[in-house]
Amino acid sequence: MALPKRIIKETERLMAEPVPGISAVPHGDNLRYFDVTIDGPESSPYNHGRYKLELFLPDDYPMTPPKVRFMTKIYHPNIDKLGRICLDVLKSNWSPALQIRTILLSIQALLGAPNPDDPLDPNVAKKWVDDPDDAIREAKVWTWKFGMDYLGFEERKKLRSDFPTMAKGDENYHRAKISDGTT
Amino acid sequence: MSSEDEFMSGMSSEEDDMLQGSDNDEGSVDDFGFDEPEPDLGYSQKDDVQAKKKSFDVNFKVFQPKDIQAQQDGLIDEVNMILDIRKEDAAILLRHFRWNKERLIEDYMDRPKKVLEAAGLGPSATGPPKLEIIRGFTCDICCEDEAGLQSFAMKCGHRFCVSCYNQYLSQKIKEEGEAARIQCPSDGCKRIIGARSLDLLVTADLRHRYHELLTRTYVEDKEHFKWCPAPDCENAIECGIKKKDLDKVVPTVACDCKHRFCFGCILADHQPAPCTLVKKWLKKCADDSETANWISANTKECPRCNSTIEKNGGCNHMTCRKCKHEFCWMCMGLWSEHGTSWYNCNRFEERSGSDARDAQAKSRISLERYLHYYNRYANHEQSAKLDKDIYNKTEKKMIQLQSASGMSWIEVQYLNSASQALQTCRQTLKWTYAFAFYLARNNLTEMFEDNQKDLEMAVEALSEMFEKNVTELAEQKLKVEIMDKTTYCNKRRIILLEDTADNLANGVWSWSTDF
Repeated sequence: MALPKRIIKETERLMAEPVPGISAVPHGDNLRYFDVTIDGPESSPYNHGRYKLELFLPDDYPMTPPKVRFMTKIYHPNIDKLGRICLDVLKSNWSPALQIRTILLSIQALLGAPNPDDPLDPNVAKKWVDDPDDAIREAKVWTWKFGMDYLGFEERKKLRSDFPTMAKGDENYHRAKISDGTT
Repeated sequence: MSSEDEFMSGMSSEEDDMLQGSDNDEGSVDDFGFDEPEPDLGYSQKDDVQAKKKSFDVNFKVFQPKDIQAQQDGLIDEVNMILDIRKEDAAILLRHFRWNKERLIEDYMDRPKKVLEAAGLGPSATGPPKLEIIRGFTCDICCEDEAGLQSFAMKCGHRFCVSCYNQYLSQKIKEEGEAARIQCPSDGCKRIIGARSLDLLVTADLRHRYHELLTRTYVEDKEHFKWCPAPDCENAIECGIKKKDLDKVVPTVACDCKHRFCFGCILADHQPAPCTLVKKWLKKCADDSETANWISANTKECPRCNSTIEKNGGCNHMTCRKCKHEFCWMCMGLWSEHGTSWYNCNRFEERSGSDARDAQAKSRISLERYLHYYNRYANHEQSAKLDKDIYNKTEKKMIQLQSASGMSWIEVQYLNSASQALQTCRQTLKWTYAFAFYLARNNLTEMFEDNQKDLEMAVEALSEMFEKNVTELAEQKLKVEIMDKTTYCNKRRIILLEDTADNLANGVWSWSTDF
């Protein structure tokens, strides 16, 4: 099936005028499938993290929303273990006038402003409401652990002091290890 | 026969009493003026009129698709006249207000602009919707920009090409089943597409589906309306029973298509059991029945920690895997008391063994109790299905009977009514068992069980007569018997239902569990 003009135009524009902090590159063998990265917003616990996502444009796009999923683990009340995202514009509030660009910006905004009142992962959301400081700590630990592979060793080392310490005896030390599955 | 007659007359006077009791009750609920039943003429007359209605019946009305359409049109016309707005806008406003005409008119009178905005009608301009070709226009959805591209925009000014509009609408209508609240395709624009704009943009089959869905929203938006759940039935039913009354009444309604269902929960007729009980029972049955049967047949509980244990081989010396309690599978007593009689329990009464068996019996008894009611419930369900098969054969039987005995069509109709009585009575009986399962033991329950027993016996007797072959059915005597039994069954059913409905309305049943 020929690629609709709309998708070609959108792809061209994403390449020509990329959004700062966001990249979206279509696969060579499937132009409806995009490899996406989103940088964590500065004022959020995801700062310095770079998150991989996959984005797929279904056949009836733009009448139906694109399918988007986080591939990098992230501690966020509206994103679950499998990387699925709870965001209104990806579901009921989708409009065919929205674009890949606007959707990715909305996701970036969601990282900056988690919404624990409309949770996807109830445990994370509960933590976010009951003890926001600790939740943010946890999110930072996850960012350090999963979101910073793109950096070289030296760059990472420089940032070490920005992240909660995970020395033995610190409760976050154990939690980060458990959540990683390596005990 | 005479004893039965006496019995019947006794019952009917009781029935009258019950009816009157319930009428007084209804009177006080319906009109607050009659808190004390004064024996004035007007009131007792009202009583007589109401006496025809059974206490377990509710008022309802069946509407066919054309009635629903007419009702909607009537409301739209009314608003159109009173508020002096276009019919299309009136329809959108009414849908926005969930067909609450009074509230719409009141709100609109107070602040028309705000109401229009909220309903997605925005500042109103003039002129009918039309397609336009605009020079230099690029559609934001498909990015087409060729010359001569037909486009459309509502009053909000968000313009898209006709083919995108068409795809958008067909996605909304066909895939999402939306109609009354389809918004402008532009992001964040709340403007709603009206029927006239839609007619301009889509093909005939979509238009048809759209109007069908619009009619649906009318019924779905109104609190007192529900669709008949029978397959292929297009009727809707209006019934004034509110959700909070559902623990007091079992609002059973009958559609013109003959389907009888509960207005509260849409399930098939489940009198006399109230909706909450039905829900609980069905869940219990789905969860427990087969498992419970198996457990009952194949396992015992550990005498110490009550874990359920299946003995799938080996000797009688059991060691509970959970609490490590050692006991004998045969007598359930302590293994240590068995001394040297290993692997073969021939001991009869030992204190620890009988205590353990007592405890086990107690935990079993609740399971057995459930199975007792469940088996009877399932049995009636099954029998009702079998009776339904017979009902399908009844037609054939009636024709055979006509040729065999020379009876006319009208003379063999009794088979039809017998078959129908069997069906409804079995349906009722089925639910009496679910009902009884949750009842606490007291005098009322005993009366209920007597009623249940009478109905059950009558139904079984009728069922047996009904199965006889054509030559026997041709006898006049059997015909009379069947007709008598049919009447009797129906009467017993009514008595049972009235009894339960009255007690439910007065809140006098006591339950074995909380709801």
